[in-house]
Amino acid sequence: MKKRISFFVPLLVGLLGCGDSQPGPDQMQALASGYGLYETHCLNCHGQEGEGLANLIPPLKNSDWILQHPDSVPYIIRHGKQGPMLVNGKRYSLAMPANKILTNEELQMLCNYIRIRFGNAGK
Amino acid sequence: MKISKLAGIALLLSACSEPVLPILGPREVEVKQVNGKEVVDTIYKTIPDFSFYNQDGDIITKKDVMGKVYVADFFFVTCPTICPRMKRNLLKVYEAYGNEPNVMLLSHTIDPDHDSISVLKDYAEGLGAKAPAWHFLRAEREYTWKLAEEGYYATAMADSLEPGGFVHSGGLILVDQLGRVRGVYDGTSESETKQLINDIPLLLHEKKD
Repeated sequence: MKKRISFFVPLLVGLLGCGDSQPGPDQMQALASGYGLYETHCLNCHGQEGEGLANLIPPLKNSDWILQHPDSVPYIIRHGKQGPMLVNGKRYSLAMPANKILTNEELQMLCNYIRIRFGNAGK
Repeated sequence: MKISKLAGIALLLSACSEPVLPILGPREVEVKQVNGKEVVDTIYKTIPDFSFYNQDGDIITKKDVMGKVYVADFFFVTCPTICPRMKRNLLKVYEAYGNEPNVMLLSHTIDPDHDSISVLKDYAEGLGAKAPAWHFLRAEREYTWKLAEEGYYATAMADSLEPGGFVHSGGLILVDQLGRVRGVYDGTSESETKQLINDIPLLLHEKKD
């Protein structure tokens, strides 16, 4: 596991971007754990940089909705989402499919990744 | 001296000539008599006739695309895998050619049971796409699957083991002004989409007959 984390460190520092402060060890751990899960379960729709897709799929990056509803994120990942939602002033109505195969631990890792990687950690 | 001049001209000519995209699919050889002489002609397969409803409820047929260069793909709205990637890349094609009247995009749903005309309308609006530059097409599913396979050399069918319940190829299929398939690009790949964007002018510059 230690080897795996050390492999990810340069990549993750790069992912966080030049303008962000250096991630702490806990954040590095969260990013390393969540990277593969994000790639497998979220990236196709929400994009490499969490940018979303036009007015169809909402962004995860700097999302005011995630900042305001952090506790709803794991629920939406597990059960999907029907109906419109307003993110950063834009209305998105495409349904999100449920993902029932993630374990609780994986769900937690994924939420941490989305929170830290895409600037949704709050102040 | 003469040879070097000729070589220079040949080099200049070759530098000016544009590459030609291959014509994909089967072809037939036709032998006919013209003015008493035997002439051999190659007949290339073209997209068969088709008829679909688009996101505005208008009927779109082969007549609407003849004389135009177009990009076809197969998708479904609830697809959780490659479709959003393909649409992200198709948006780049749309941004490049959305105002060019001789270029069109045709996205065919392979799940018409879910993807009604109003669902396709919402989807198109969400992408910021408008007809006639970008049509989202709907017909009976077997009709669409057959056209995918026989006309565009693509795969589209139900598969309960696949996420979303369907399997389909992720190709962006480039069709010329005569209805011939001239290229298949991986719609999930940014670099292949760039290549597609670069190749479209090659077909626009070709003669229509």
